[in-house]
Amino acid sequence: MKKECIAMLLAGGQGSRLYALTANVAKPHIPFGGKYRIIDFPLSNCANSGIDTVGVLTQYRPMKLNAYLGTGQPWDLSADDGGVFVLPPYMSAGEKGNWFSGTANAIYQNIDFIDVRDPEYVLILSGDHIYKMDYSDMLREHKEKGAACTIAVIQVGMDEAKRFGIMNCGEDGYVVDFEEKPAHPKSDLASMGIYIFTWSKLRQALIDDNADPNSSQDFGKNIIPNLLSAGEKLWAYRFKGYWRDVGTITSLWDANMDMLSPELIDLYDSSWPIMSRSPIRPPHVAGPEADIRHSIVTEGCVVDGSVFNSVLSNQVVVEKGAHVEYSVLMPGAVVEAGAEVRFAILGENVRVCKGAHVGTEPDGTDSWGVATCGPDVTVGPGAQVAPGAMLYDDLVAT
Amino acid sequence: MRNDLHGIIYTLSSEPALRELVEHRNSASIPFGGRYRLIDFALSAMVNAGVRDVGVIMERDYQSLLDHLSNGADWGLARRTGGLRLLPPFGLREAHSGNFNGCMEALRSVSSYIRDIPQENIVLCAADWVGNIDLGKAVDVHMRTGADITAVCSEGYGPFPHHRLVPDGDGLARKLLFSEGGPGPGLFSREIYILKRDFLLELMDYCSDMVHDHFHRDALAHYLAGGGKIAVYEHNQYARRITSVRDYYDASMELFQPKMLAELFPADGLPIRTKERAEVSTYYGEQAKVSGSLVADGCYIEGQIENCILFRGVRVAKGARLKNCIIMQDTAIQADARLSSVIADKDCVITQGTVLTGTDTLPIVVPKGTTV
Repeated sequence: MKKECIAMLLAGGQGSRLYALTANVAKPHIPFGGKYRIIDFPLSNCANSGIDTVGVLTQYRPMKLNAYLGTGQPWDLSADDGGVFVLPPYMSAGEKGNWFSGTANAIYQNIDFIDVRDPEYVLILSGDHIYKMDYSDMLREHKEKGAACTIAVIQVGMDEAKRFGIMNCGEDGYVVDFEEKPAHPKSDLASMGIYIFTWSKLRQALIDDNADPNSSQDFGKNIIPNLLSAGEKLWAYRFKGYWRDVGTITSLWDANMDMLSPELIDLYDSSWPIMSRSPIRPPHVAGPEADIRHSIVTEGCVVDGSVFNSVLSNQVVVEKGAHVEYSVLMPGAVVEAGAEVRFAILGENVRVCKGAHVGTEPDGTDSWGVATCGPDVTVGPGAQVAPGAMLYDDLVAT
Repeated sequence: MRNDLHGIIYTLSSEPALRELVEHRNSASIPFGGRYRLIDFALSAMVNAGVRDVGVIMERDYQSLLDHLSNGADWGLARRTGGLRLLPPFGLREAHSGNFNGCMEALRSVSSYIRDIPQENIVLCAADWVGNIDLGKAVDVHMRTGADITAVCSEGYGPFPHHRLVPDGDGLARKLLFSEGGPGPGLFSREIYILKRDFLLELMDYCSDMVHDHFHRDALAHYLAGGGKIAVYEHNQYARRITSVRDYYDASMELFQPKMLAELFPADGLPIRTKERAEVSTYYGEQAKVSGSLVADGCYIEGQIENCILFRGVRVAKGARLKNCIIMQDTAIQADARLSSVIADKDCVITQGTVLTGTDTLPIVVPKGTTV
């Protein structure tokens, strides 16, 4: 079963900077942009790029993610000779099994899985980015340039560069230096965490890295620098288009707001559909009192209040007299009559009771931030959730 | 899981009063309720009752039905053993026009399929109705009474010709009445039946010998004349048969009544399944205005909609105003168009500034693919 290129999707991280939102689920399973979950973006990109075999490496709280992936059928990835394969850490005979200790170690532990497919190339992806990208174009460049590894990079502002892994390239375009979160960046080309490796090169690099007791077994910290110092050719594939890391509350909220601007990322483009597994729900109902503007609404919602500049996932209820603005409401969230939600993220099945207030408009102070209610939390009648708050448990008015 | 039940859905010649709605399709695949086709309601009722094998006897003009049903995966019916079986109308040796006069003729065309059904009971119905009927409960009645046949009936009546059953004191009906439409004694048959397989085969043999084509007029009347009894399961929630453009429009507009909508799509009840498609959520623009509407995913709304049903992928441009309209999938309403009581079929374009005004009793139908 020879494959030219298969994908390995790293979906095991906790996403600890999303706090309550990832207390019980892995980050790739977080609802996004109304209809989607974060993992829909890399999975749909694979399907649209002609990659039919995707190994999904899971570790942190994988149950809901596993159920969501199923056979991969919603992403057209359930072909006889391909598919979505969930790859958790496992035990081996005669020795103790190990958790994945780093991104590179997760792939190292699944060398057998890749060997069975016998690919020429392996695409490494993360489960926490929002973007549309044709991996086949990146693979074409990888082959043309004769690289051992091609790293997708995107231009960022110089002031932002210190938050990313930065690639410094020579005049011929090949990578000469890689710095993880440099204090004084020399370039503005940030790694997107998307790599294509020639499998024979990566395979050996993983085995060598695993033998090094001082390695943190990470692609950015170990594998890429090791390949560079070994004199391998590393190519930077320049991606132009929308790409966001959604690892923090602010970036998750920002990226959701971006979905209201089709000029940033066109999700209506039928030549590159983003696919998802949707619950079976009827069309959304806009009641007689509904006022919905500059917002996204998904099937199964019932809206009879006012909704401005917001993103509503499926089965969200906004009752008559309730007000929602600049907010992200995940599946099943309910905003009761007279409640107000501003600049907030409501996790799945959050209930904001009558007269409660969540979040406020920006007030210019440093302490201001997006208010977040974790999944299944109830904000009691008349209760107030302060801006920037992170609510893990039910709140009762004091 | 109920494995003692097999589903058969038949499609007959479409009623002429459905006009443009059946120009390119059989009535079974008329779009309804923002994201469904009529056959979804029959199929979902069966699947929700645990039926795992369903045969669909297709009439001519079945291309759209084939596209919709595909391998049945969206109804959980794509299976190695059993599952969805599509039965085209050309199964008989003799030349066939692809039209069936009646249910018995349709069944006769697939008699070898029916003889091979392993389950003891069969749910039999047409595909021209809308409702969320708990067939599991009807099956319970069928089992409890041990009847040869159980009918799903409702109080009230249809505005179209229909059959009525008059139950006796023991709850079993021994009489079948024909109504031209309007009120009458007894109950209104929804023409959804649960029958023992062997009993259905007897009815088919009788009708085959007599060259009879009709289920009620021929088969059931013969059975009742010989002392037969029909058990009755009453469904008195929202259900509508769609036999004309007027029925279609009225049934659609009834969805704006919260009670009707909740009966058809209960929040935690039996789901109505349909073909999935890769779709984005619906976007409302800065100047959008919406009230009392039912909107599927994938729409892009910048204009005003009031009491409208929008199917997947509909676009309503700035300045457009829609009232009491049904707009089917991927139709675009351009800027400043004014539409009132209009049913626009799939893939239409209503160009800038167009004004179309129908009425409740005479809605305007824009046929599939038309540019106005």
